[in-house]
Amino acid sequence: MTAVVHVTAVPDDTLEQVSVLALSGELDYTNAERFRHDLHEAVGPEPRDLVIDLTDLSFCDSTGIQVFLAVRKLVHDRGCGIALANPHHRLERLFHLTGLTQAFGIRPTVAEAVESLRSRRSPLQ
Amino acid sequence: MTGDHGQQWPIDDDLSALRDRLLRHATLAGMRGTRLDDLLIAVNEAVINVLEHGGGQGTVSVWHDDVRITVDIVDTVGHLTPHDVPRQRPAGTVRGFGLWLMSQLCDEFTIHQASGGSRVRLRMCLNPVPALQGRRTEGS
Repeated sequence: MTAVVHVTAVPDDTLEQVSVLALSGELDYTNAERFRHDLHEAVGPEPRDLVIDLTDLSFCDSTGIQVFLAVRKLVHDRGCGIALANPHHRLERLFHLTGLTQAFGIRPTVAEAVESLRSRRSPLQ
Repeated sequence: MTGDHGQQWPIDDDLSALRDRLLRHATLAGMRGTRLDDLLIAVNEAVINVLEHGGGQGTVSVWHDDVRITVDIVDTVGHLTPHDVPRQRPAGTVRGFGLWLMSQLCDEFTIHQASGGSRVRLRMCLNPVPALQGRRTEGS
């Protein structure tokens, strides 16, 4: 059984202008292209802030990181923000070593990731 | 000597199964936590290199003794050389990340190039850093 990654949109009416996608499975070289396609499909054409819930993604390698970088660029080019939530310690390690922890605005929970994007839009008075 | 005779697996595109086998072996050897994760990430990157640049065929061999666990990843092309490893973290591109990661994650990382193939050797000490033992005692 080869690795798969499932991309699931998390419906939440309270999240104005923020999309939340939950990932599960293992992301690696063998499924990164498929994942790239599924992720772009799930992100859609609308300019919205994006939170990716990594709670159930148990593995990611350097090819997976490339997909995250590509979607980060897509979201930024639309003038929106991206934040990643609750990465597995393996992923946290990878983001740290590749120097991308800051670039992805990694937060411990989905709620904090959403909040970080909101506060970016409406800075404290 | 509590080591083993080692195991060898052919490289194919079922990376998930390969990671499971490696995790089992390394756990039996006594590896845990972050260092186990580091070895797992490094071996996975080495295998990706074989699939992407090393002709797609090769083997992963793993064995351990009292002191360390060793994983050899061998391709059949032999293009990979020690000069391919970036000295600094690649900036602006993800190319070279895999080799750079291997150099950061393991206690020992060597590349041996021969006509029949290149061999990446990744090693982790099983009882690293005596200083940590002191800290552990303090905490207990």
